[in-house]
Amino acid sequence: MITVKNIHIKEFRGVRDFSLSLDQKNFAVCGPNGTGKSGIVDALEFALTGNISRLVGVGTGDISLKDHGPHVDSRNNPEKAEVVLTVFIPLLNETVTLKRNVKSPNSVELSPDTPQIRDILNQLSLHPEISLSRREIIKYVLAEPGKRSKEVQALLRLDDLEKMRASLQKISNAVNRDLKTAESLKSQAIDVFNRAMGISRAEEKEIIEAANERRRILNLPLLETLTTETSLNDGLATNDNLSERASKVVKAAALADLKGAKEDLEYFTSEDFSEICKSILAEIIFFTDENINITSKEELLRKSLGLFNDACCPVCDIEWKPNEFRFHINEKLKAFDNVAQKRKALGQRLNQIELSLEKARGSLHQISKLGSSLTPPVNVSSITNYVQWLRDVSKQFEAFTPIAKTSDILKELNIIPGAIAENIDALELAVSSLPDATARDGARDYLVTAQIRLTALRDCSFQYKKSREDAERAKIVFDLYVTETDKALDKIYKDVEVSFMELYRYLNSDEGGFEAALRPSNGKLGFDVDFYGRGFFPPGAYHSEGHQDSMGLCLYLALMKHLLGDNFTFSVLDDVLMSVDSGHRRDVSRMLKEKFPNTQFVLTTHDEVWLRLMKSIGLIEEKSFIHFRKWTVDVGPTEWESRDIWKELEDNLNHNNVREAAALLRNYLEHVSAEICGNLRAKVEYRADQQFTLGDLLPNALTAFDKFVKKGKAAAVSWSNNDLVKTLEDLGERFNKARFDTNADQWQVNSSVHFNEWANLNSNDFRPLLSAFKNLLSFFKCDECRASIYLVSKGYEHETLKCSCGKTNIDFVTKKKENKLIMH
Amino acid sequence: MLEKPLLCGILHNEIKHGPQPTMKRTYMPISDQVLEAFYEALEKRPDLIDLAARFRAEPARTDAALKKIIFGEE
Repeated sequence: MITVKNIHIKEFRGVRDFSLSLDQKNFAVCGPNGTGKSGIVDALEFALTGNISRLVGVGTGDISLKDHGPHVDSRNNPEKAEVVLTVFIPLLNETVTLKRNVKSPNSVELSPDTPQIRDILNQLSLHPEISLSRREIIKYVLAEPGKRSKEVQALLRLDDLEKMRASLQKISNAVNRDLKTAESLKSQAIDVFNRAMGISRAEEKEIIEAANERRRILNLPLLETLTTETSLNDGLATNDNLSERASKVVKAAALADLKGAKEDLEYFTSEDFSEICKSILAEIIFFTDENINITSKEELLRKSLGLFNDACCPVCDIEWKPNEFRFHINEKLKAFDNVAQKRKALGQRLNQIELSLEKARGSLHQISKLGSSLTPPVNVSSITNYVQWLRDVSKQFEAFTPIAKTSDILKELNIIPGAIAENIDALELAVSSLPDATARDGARDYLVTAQIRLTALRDCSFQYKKSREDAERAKIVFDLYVTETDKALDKIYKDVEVSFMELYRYLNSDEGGFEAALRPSNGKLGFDVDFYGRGFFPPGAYHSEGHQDSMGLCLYLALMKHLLGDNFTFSVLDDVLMSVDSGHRRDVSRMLKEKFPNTQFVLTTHDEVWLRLMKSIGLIEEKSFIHFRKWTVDVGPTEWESRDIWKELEDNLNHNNVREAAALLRNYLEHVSAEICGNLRAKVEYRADQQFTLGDLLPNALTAFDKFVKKGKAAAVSWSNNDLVKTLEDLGERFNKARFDTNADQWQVNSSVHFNEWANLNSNDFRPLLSAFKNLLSFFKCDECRASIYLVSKGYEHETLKCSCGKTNIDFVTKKKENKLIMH
Repeated sequence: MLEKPLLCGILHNEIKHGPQPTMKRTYMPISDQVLEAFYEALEKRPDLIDLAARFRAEPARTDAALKKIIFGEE
């Protein structure tokens, strides 16, 4: 989406005021630990996303962007902590400046500011993973499958898909529960309606006949059919002699309701019900705590078979051969079959009871409404409490555990509390003492009550129908979502897998037949890799740490390629190849250069060898790096830049701080000598730990330079170019005098002496030494472009010593071939 | 060129908030690609064809928003 041109950081993290020009090219940031490399990475991430990943998330505790994003001395002025980034957006062919400060991290100042630019930067802010650290590599490679799935899904922004899957499942479950409730309410409404009508089944013929019997009494037109619009008391309102309103308590209907409720309760005390309860109790005794655990285990084992990915146990991630795992689990399951069957049968028996409970709950609720309608009111609190208890019983049956509670309820169910019977008797007495209605009033009350209950039944039926449709719709949507997303994710993971294998094979030619498998399965993502054709294993099983690092990098790059496609134009690799050996780092450099030519990488490392490797492969250009030497809280990071060094050395001497000046000069000389040796391909005695001292480096760098000047002079002589011969002779003489003035060649003999001696000098004694080194080092830079001079070779044959601008150009080709010798 | 889901999203926003500045989408996130496959599967079912349009028009994915999409306005 973007490439970075330059960055300016102020009062941010460990940085006071620092600018860096990246020029849309790959760029390396090198320096020992604690010199400010991460400050650059944080600043890039902050400018682009408004966040610093390292300051948020697990393990960051009380650390926050607002409080700890600014430099420690500006912690109370977050508005001073800002990053200004100049980026190029290829799609729009625009250069844009972004300015963001820690006080308002979500607000970015853009110049120019257009909706198109904001849209692209908003998309970019969704991708903090443009920055990859070694810590993050590990989470992709070594994480357990469930966690890896989450990490990869988060990287690919797929976690929203998982959330949506969970939401759809939740919605489907919720509407199924609604359906069950609607079914129960409909069943209760049918009972209540039937009782009011005095019929056994709510069917059209019976309803019409019963209604017409009353309509005849009232001289109302008879009903012929029963539709959804039919009103059983149609015509009552227009009949002058009749009021549509029924009595407050319709005696006949109330008595029928009371009778129904009593029958429902009597069923609880019946032999049949008692037998059902006893038989369930007898079965429940079989389930001890141990058995119940086994039942849970049985569910777990069945699920584990479904979740098994042919590689490792989905519970503990221990590796299994597929057949052995299935055999092992099936053997365990056989032992649970008996328990499982009993539990299933028991569930069905409990459902039977549950239906009776629902029926009684409905009828008792109906009669409880009579209490306040009667004059004087009748106390029905026992009935109301009992209805609530029946609801709790249903919940307990659904939960099943604790078993002791379920058993206790089954033992209590056929004992109806005496207070209930007293409430019902009181209601029955009050209703019975109501005066009998006349035939016409009775018919009117009958039709009005029946119609009220028919309306309620129709509402319940409508709700049931709607709930059923909703449940079906939700299930279809959920199933379709699962099928389609699984299919699409399978394809995505397959593509990533292919891309990953291609990149990894590029890095590890000895593993030419390398294969990998990303296996998504029920919210997990298995990641197994081939080990020299001996089978698939988790990456941490046999591969070295270095291989795991490179796997992590390859997986990251494959994922980013898939995520952003052609828009993968910028990435920060923060010290990601710590464990990779130098041979493979060379391959990584080539891979990044060749496979991602359109991606600008910012690479941080504390390893100077790695930095040189990146330069020699051409992953980064000669000037596209910064080398930090130290960091202080007052100044922030300081780079190895000669102008600063000489000024700092002079400042030290002005304060008579020779010891510090001596140490700084030695460190700088070590740094710059390594650079010169690299540029001139000087012969240096090899050290396995790469810890080269100044004595190992500088004398060899000087010898190499002297040799190339002489070689250039020989070529000039072969061409009879006397002016150039004279120039090179003069250069050689000046160089050797400068070399002599520093006495540098002695150090190889006794490297431990000289620097201590420096520290014992006073400022005036040290100044000539400083001046001598400054003069000596000037021979290794072009006085025009200030870039280091470097050797150009073809194979083992050295051709030229030159600088970037071309002003310095010492050609070694002798007369046989065309040559040109120019020296400033 | 605008992808269909984004186009629907913009139209939806325009209906709700008035005309929006023209936007150019640089890429289609993977989650959108996956969802697109789901919407296309919905479109193939005559009984669910309306759902695809509703999913595209409503970018929110909260439980409440999803319920509204699946079951309508009620």
